[in-house]
Amino acid sequence: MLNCYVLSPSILVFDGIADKSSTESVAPLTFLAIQQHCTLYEDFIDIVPTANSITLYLRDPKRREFWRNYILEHYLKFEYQRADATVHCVPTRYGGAYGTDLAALSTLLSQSVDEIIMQHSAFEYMVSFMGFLPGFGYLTGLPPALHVPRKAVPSTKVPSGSVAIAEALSAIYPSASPGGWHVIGQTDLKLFDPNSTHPCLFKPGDIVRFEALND
Amino acid sequence: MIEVVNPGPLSTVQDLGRFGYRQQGIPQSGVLDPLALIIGNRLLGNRDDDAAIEITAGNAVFHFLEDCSFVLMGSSLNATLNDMPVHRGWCMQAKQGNVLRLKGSQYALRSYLCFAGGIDVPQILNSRSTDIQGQFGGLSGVPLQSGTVISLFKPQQIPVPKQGALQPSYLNHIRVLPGPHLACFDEHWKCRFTEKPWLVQLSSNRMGTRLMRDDVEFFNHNIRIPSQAVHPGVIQLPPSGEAMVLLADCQTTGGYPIIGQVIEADLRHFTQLGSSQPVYFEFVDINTAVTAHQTTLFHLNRINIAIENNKKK
Repeated sequence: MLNCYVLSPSILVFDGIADKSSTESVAPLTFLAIQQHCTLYEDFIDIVPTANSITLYLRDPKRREFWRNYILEHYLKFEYQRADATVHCVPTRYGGAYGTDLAALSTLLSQSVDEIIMQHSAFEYMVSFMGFLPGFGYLTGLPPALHVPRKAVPSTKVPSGSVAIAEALSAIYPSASPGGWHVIGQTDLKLFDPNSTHPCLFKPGDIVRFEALND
Repeated sequence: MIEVVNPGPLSTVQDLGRFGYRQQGIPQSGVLDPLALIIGNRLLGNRDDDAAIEITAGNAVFHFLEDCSFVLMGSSLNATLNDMPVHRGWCMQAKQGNVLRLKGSQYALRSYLCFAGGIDVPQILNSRSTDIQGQFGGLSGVPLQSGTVISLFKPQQIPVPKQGALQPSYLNHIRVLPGPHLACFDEHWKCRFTEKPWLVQLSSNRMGTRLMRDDVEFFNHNIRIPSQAVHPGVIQLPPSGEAMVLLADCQTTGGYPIIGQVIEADLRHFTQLGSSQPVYFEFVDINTAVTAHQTTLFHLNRINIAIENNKKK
């Protein structure tokens, strides 16, 4: 059941939190489908999906009720068009100086370093949504065997290009930043370039594969 | 050209902000008080979105390397031009060699230094604003340094008329729309939240104003919510109970409960709220938010009419 609330005169939020009358939740792709649909219109300054919500920033608050009703009425008919998704291959150097948390993670998960690398690079991920830093994508699809809570003490500086995991997600740090995810490797891929017309490599819905490089 | 002799604790080039990039994780940036920038720009005959310098706390010195009209908005931070007081909201004519000093004030925090013509830096992602975290925009993506020289565009209007305008007052009574996670708490909690002032913490910055209270334990919680979009004006409640009002440089998504959204007309008040100052919250409805925004627009319209009339003289 899609739920909608107004956060300010020009901000609409849709989320899939189940209410008392229904237990069905909303499929994550629904929010990407709503985003694709709304992008066709000039009514929005920004459209920000996350894993289970989407926030619409309207140019004109007078259009709020129209969009609220329209989306609640029609969202089940929106289909996410996979054709828009780009597949990215991320060459990654795992472990050692590149993946400073990998050894500790091996103990934590009771798996060998090689097993972790094999699992992480064997699966396909989807960019669920962007946030935290310019160009930072939250990647869903981490195998359950690698699910692990965030670090108890966040690192003060995670290097740019760090490939990391936390909870049920994987991610790549586009720039150096403090962070609480477990760093398992590093890539040279540039994820954010403010001087480009397309500043971010990833967009919601894209597919990401990690490829282990041998030093 | 203007030389930065001393930028003080933080001076950055900002315009109205960066829009259309939130879904990629790129923050809005831009001035904390858009109204101050718009009024300043209109007084000088600039475009609303022309870039100015946002000066934090004072202790800043600028040296004019050319004749130039400017206006200080926000707070004047006890500014002087060659030792003569500068009042905020008034167009001033600086001569080549003049020195502008902003000492600072115990009652205010930020000043906007707008120049006729606006600041000439490249637009990055449709904005001249400095993204301090992302290190792009403004002058090479960094705050102003001692010795930095700033270029200006040619003024649109020469000479700039002698005129001034009043800014609506800065207050510490903040009207808030209820947020989605207020429902996690009861009526008593809501009363406790608004009955006493919250104090601004020293760790506050352009990303957010962090708030504290002596009874903060009451607001501790362990409510987990999935990440959702956040933006300037959102009031987040981290598990510690220390509420945080997000400002222009905030991240685009966040996972703390959202207990409210500061109404657009009141968000500018945080521009001047410095460490240990009290902030009072009041929950209001959406009609109040709309009316308050209209009042702001009326104020701007009155200024427009006065500026037009002044041109005819």
